[in-house]
Amino acid sequence: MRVTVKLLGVLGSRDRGRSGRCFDLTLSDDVTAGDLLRALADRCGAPFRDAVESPDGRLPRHIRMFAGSEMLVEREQALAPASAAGAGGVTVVLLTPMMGG
Amino acid sequence: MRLGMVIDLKRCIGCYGCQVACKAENGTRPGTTWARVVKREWGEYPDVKKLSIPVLCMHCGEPPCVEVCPTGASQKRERDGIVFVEGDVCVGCRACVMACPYGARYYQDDQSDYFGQGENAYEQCVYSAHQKGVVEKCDFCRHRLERGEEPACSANCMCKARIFGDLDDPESDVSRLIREEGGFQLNPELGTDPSVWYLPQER
Amino acid sequence: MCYNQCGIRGHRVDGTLVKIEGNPENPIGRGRLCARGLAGIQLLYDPHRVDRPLRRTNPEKGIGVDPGWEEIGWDEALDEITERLVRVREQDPRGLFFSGTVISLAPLMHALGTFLPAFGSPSAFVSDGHHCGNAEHILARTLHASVTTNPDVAHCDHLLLFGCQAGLGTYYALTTMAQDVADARVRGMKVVVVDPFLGTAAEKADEWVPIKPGSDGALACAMLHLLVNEYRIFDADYLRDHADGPYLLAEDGWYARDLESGKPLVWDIDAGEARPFDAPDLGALALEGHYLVESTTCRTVFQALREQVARWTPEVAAEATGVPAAVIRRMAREFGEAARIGSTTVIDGVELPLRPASALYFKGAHGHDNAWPTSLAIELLNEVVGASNVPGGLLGTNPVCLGHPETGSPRWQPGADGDGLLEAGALLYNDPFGRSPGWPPTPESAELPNLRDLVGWPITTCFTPAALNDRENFSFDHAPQVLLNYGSNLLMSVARPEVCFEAFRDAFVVCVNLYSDETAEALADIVLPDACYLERLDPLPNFTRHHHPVGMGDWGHTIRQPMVEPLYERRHFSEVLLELAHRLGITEPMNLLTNNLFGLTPPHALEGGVRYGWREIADRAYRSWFGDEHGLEWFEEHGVITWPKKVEEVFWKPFIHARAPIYNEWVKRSGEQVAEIALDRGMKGIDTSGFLPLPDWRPCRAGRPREGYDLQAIYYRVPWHTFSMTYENPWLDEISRGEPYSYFICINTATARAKEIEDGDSIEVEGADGGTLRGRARLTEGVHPDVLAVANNGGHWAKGMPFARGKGIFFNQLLPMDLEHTDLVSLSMDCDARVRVRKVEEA
Repeated sequence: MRVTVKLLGVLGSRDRGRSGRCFDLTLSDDVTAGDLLRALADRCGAPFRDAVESPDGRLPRHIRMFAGSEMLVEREQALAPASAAGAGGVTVVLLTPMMGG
Repeated sequence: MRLGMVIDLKRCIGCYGCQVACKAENGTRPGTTWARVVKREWGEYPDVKKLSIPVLCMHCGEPPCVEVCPTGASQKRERDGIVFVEGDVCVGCRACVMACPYGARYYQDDQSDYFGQGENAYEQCVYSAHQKGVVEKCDFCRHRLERGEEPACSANCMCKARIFGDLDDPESDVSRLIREEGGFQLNPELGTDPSVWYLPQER
Repeated sequence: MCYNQCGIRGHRVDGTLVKIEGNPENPIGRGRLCARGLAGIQLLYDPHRVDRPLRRTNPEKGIGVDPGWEEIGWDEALDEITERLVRVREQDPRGLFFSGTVISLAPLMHALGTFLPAFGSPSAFVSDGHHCGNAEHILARTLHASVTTNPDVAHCDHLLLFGCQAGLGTYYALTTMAQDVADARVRGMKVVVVDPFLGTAAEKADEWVPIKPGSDGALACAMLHLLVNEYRIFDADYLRDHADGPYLLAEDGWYARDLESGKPLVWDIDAGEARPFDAPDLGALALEGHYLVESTTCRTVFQALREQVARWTPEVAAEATGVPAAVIRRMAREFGEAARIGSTTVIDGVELPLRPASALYFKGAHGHDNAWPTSLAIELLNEVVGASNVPGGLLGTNPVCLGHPETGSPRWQPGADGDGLLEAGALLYNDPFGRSPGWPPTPESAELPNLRDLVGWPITTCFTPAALNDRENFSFDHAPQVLLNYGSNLLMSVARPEVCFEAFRDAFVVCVNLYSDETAEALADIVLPDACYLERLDPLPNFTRHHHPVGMGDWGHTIRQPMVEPLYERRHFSEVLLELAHRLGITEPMNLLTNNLFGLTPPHALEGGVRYGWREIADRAYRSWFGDEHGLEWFEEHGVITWPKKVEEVFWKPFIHARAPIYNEWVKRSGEQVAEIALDRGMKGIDTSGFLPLPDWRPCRAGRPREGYDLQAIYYRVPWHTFSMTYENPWLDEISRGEPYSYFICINTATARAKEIEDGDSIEVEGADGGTLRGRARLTEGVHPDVLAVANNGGHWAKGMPFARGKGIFFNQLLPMDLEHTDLVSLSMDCDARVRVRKVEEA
């Protein structure tokens, strides 16, 4: 399925994916939050690359993932097809301490 | 009843909160600080001591200001000992200002405002309670006492260094503190018998 | 009126605010205020406030140059700003730079947490962090799972303050701490104040220890050495079980790790071998000593600390600090004994370790380019005696919250990372994950002027202007096109004014401000009239916990609601941000980030790109935290919601097992990574020798001797001023005029007389690194003979602050801002200066 991804709060140079950058990814229909993380690591590199290595079952602490306006918590959570392909898409926020949390 | 105050110099940090609390409560003009702080330093480096002494009207048992007042405007209240000025009676001769050894009285001649641009909205509101050409001073916030509240300076002190109460009641906080913590008055040799007592910084 | 955002109430008569006083229902202040809080009315009604948007007509920008303000309408102002922002966003959103003042914390966080990331700019910096808690914040996190710290004075018998005036004039939660510290002192708590100047705190101290500025770290290292090596006073149980004391360090300075699991190793005495720290059935652990692990000699972290501080004999420290060796010995012994290692107390039925000694520090001690190792040394004083996160000791500011009884919200708590080390929960916001981003730091590059990608972990990154002025040295490929400045008086607050002026002189500058201050005057193209705190709505203005007092008591969350509607055409910055977001078409991401900021989940979460009003957002925030019965209306009526803290929230250590890292592997790693990046890009001046995992000391820049410059100039804080804005307040100015020191340059009496300077003389202070101060001398015995002391943040020159103009002394003109004067670990700066002084004739 086609997932529209928007990145917010991204640090680093243009090449790493600037904040507000929007692009489409083609992923499997039962794609999970963890899968999306891996796909972002492939496409955008660090800081997503570091995030993939985090051990527990939840998304890493400096990443917020929203399907529409619903926040995803567990890596194994599926991106509901409606929210992913529909109006909301998926927004991924990279946080600094000043931004939240 | 004899209303009085204890100021604990060990607790007081000399932050001037009382000066501004009084001003905020009573809306006094520039230069009129019914409550203020005196700072002292002594010793020789590195054995140095500093002390902050909040002062206000002492509401003396033997007030020289009342004695010298030609009009009777300066009075001591029978029921609680508060010394105050009846503004309508005061003619502004300033004998009391000279007589007070604690510098607690302020003549209202200079009708200046704080920013020098005319009174702002706040000042227009609060200065109307004050008269030009008379002497003013702390009155232990009589208007607050009527509502069952203590004076603004002691209600606000963030070190809880000011304690207010009845000196005639031996079990009141003020009486107890004076007794147990070595309370003293400022310049007792002048025979004024202040109602404001101090607890020593070192104890 | 200051960072602490205490609880207040206001009285109105016919729509005019006539009195501000404390709110007795609010645990933040408990109904009492300092002089600043009480004086807020004169901020509201100051005729010099910016009341309408202003635009510059003089194209020439310059320090002290008249901008030729003309008043314009809001629409016109916003149209122009929007046009600029649209252009920046199209070209490169990183060109939007943002700075703000922490005094107005809620709108600042709103901008940092929602507008900036929604816009796409990473270029934010908080301008005065190096004058504040940059280094302290790091250790407040690693050792105390919070952003800030405060001692548990309710149970403390011995408070040791280094360059800090907690509860004695300044510092966090002042109005509550002042009450608690006074109570404790009357109860018998002893206070020792280490400070070059006899200020408010030293005045109340049982002992004032004058010290050479910037040498507090040496004193702390010597005290550590005495405690752990000579006196052998340390809390072995704490270090072994609640810190990384027993973790083994290899010779290369990394933890020795299990080959299979990667876990740090400890020495199991019973087993006679090294085992992972989390192995089941561990025997007794060694706290000291050297051990052979796979043919490598390792030593425990505690052993390493002992060896690290061994060279800091009292005699060596006396040389560095000017504090006599006998005094250092006595200080260490008194602190160690006061900690009563091994004692316990019962609070709310729970038995807890009691360590009634706390060492605390702040800007005076760590506002130097040796900030990181200095802060670490002082913090470890608490750690070695176990006085950390327990009754009587140094507490993080509320690291655990289990939430309001009815909603379980807000909620956060620390945990342990993979190495078993303490990891903070949510720091600033109500994070549904209860975790905090940004740790451990990962230096990547040097492409961002705020250095977030290089040394991003300091919460307040303020080196930006200096980095911009040194751009060839870094790898910035963008420059400030627009500077959106929320109330920060950069030119005065950072360093020498030229530093910030040069950095932003070519940018389109928008200042959202109360006054046309020095920064607006010199740099702004447009000034927007800000609604001050008395004129606006801010939900949850105290955020989660770092304004809140520590220790047992009540939680309290409040509302900041307008005491008067904004006067003239002043507007709340948060509402301006919402308007700009709408004009830029970024409402949708801004909504999402707002959900993140306040931890809003459905049904309270903001949806899609719907345009919500500020009141609506505030209402949802309150409902999300405290339930539908406690929405905005409830808070408008009741003001404060409170509920009692639980002992397992306040003294959480026995309930959450996580070890305090005495050894800072992360700093060592970061140091190597930063050095590598610097080498890779040919960067100059990147000195990573201060990235020390254990404490040490070397003098700060201003502390080093310089031919012809025999004195060190410092600034100190007075309890009735904060930042620079308060000098415009006439009630606060009235205090300074009646007070002996704050409008003068304080000089030691003997030092002055040797230079034929008498009290009241006009003097000139010349900085070895540039800058000159002029003022009148106040001779005093209460200052170190080699030190000049000036009260903070005076010396305004802006025409827009006519009341403040010329009052006090502008200290920061003595301060350069560059890598040489900066502690790279914390982005703290040397906030003192090496100077000389002479008498001059009156002008």
